[in-house]
Amino acid sequence: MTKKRASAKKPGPSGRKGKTARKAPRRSFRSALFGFLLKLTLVLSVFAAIGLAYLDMQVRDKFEGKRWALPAKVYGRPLELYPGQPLAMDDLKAELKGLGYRFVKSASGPGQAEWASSRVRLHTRGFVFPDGYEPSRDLLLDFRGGTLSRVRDASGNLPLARLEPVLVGGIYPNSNEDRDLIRLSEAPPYLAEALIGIEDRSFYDHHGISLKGIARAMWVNIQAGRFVQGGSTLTQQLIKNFYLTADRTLARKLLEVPMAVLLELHYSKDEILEAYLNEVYLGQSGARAIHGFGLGSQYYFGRPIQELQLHQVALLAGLVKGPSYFDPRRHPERAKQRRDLVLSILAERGQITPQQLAEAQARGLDVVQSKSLQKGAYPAYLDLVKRQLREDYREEDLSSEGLRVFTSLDPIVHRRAEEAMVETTDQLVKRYGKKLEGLQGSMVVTDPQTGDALAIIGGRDTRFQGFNRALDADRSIGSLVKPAVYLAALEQGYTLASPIEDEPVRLKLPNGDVWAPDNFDHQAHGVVPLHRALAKSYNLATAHLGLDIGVDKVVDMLHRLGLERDINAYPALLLGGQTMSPVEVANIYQTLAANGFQTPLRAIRMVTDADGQELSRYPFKVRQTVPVELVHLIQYAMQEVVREGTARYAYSQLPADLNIAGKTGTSNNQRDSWFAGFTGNRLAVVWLGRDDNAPMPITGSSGALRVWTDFMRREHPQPYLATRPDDIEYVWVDDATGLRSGQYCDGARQLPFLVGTAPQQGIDCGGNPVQQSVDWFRNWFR
Amino acid sequence: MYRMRLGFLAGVALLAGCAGPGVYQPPVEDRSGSAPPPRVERGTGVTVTPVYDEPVISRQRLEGDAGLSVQPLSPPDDSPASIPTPEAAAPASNNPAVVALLDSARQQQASGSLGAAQSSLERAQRIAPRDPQVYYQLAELQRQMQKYDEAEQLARRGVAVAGGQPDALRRLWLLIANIRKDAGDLNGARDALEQARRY
Repeated sequence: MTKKRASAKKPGPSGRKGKTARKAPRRSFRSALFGFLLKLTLVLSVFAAIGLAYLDMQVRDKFEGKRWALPAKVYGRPLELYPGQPLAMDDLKAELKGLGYRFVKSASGPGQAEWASSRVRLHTRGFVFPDGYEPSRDLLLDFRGGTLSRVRDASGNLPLARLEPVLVGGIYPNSNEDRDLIRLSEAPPYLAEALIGIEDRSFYDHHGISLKGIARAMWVNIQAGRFVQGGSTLTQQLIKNFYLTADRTLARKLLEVPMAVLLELHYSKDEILEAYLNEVYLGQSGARAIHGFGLGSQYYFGRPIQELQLHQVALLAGLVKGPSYFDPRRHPERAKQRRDLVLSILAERGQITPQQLAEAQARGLDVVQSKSLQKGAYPAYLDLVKRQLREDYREEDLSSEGLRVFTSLDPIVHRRAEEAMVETTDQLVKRYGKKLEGLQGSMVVTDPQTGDALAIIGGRDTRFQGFNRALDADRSIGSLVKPAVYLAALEQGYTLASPIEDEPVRLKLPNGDVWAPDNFDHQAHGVVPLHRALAKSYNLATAHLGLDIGVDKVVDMLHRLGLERDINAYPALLLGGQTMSPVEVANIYQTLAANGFQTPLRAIRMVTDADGQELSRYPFKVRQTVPVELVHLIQYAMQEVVREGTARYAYSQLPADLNIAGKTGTSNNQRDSWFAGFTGNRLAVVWLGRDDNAPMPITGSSGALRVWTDFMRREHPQPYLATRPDDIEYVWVDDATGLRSGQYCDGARQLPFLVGTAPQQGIDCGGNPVQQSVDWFRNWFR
Repeated sequence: MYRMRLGFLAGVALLAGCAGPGVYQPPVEDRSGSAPPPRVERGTGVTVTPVYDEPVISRQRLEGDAGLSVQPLSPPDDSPASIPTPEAAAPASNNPAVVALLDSARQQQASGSLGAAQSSLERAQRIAPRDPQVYYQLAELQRQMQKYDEAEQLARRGVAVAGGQPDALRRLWLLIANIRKDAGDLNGARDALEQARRY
């Protein structure tokens, strides 16, 4: 490069040669040469100065600007702790494990918990929530049964406290660099000492480069006969990683030294050390590169760096030299040797006592299993979060501005949903063998009252980051559509007691095809009351009903229930020919659970910038689209589905007082197995099927309902309690005829009606009232 | 359990009757089997757990009989301009966590921290999603932000969970009347006032 420039300058001086040559030809040659060399030197110096100034600018610009692209952090819901909260001690334990708490004999600092038979002492870490600071507290929690009965701290009873939220994922830039920034003041004791001891002993004495260090490295290398030690200072290492590309060229090596010196000129040792702590590469998790000690601590130990102990600090410092070679998970022996070396250097330099050395060297590595880390555990949920974020934020902001995203993800609920999905489908596959090969499934769990999306499962491999069936599997919903059909009919003047014909249907379609649906049992059931047609999921009755009110009314009802996509009003829609994703189904059922108020599924609660300033909020919003009274009627019928219809299996496993309302769904040839249903505080939609859409040996009730039931069994949800709207009255009717009957008459059933729509005509009981049967009652409520 | 709670409630209602707005512990219709059902259904007939029609009604009567003080609502000229604002002192929830959060929300709203108030109310809602007071305050907050549409929807959601709680229903309908008045819908406000008067 310099050569080129020198030769380029040649034509200049030689062009002027003519003039000077006339005066003194001999002397002039020497002076010309001298002049040329002088000019060359000057030019080179100017270039060097410019180069140096340029380097200086670069060094300062990058150091003072935004140093790193910070991925957005995604948090789960914080666990609230309050007296009366349904919370099992085991669930609290799982939450604390997710947060990396240490379970100790005597909790003495943040991030520690003390376990007794019905009492937990918990030293929380505190967290700056966007709506306020939750201080670090020393809590005493009392449990009774599955309930948190008392929350206390040193000052007495507390009405409520909340734990810090679990970090459940991030949104990474293309470089896939991930880091948690820390301040030097936040670094645990011995981290700086260990790092300096093992990497650059004269860090506080040199000016960027250390001749002593280079000499020592050379000496060591010569003695060993191979390259074992580099002479780079921490400053040089920082320059190398922070400013320069990874390729090992001579030019880069040449730039490293002046830049290191410049950096030292401008900044203090502590500033450089802090940047180093955050820049350093410490490991690889799939495509994600782990940078900085803050994240390194989370990645290897599952807890904040402030809580690390001496032996853990030493391990991290030792990793700097070769995170892959010394990987404590893959090469624990090497990692331990390296750690012990770091510890002995600390002892040698008098920074720890021989006793500390012995104690720390006796410890295991204490590295957490990477599977137990929360990151990567919720790919399907994060997929939904990212899609929602991309509607409002630019990709580069998401991956570089260090945004904080607060979601409704509930790790406890999520774990139960995962277990129910995996264990139940494994059993099904075992039972049906080859016929169920390739079975897949997905699941959406919400709180129907708030619309919070609590858990989303995209497949049987719940950690798989690929096809997200909960969002993207577009499948026939089968009978899940029926509540919308019946709700539309109720709005058109039908009542739960209206007689419906369950007789064959043959409908000639405009295109010449004939639509002739059939019942699941291939039987026609004659005239049946409307509520039973839904409970038993009779196709023929539903087809008659839907055709009578008009398919467009059903389409309208589906949209009012929250379906956003356009759909065609063709007759097969009445029996669920329409395809939807589980998330779309959840939205619809949410409106059914929330008394006719659309309560859109909400994964993100709030987004803040890196400093906690609110950027956007997704508040609780509702819109009433179906009258409360009509939804009350359909909820009755949907409870009947579970009490005596196609979903009876649920009560063989669950308490009778849950008042589950739901619906099974099976598509043509049993290609899809669905169940959607809710209790007081949980709504879940489960889909099972094969990706190639092949028929299966399972229906909605023998497939998806099993997963749903298993989930609720683990979840212990609250019962669904209805309030009777003012315009609803309960009337005893005769089940067979639909006529008004009496409480003690045979075959009588109490049904809700819109006031004024109950049957007027009564039926004679036959004067043969049946006595109350206490035994029956006992059986029912066992 | 349910009956015990009813009895307790009735007692509290009696005590609180003269004290003002009274208690509004949710007397939810309990379809659960945790309490013995009032009647037994038989045969192939009813297998859906009965709905407690009578208890709710009798409870309402009970409260009425107990002289639960309902403020005279109707302004003489029946004009929506004079809709009484529900008492500042809101009824207390029975869950200390919810009480604490509703209190913080009130303070945050009063000091202009509307975002923080919204967060506190949503925390309360997650703990007690069937507590009408939560929806009352959520709606009141939206009203302060002049988001009248959202405010009314939230108040109506409150009405939907407040079945059988006349005091809460009255307050919520009064709030709806005020929201509509603020939004300039005077006829709607009059209708809401009419609804409030039913309780």
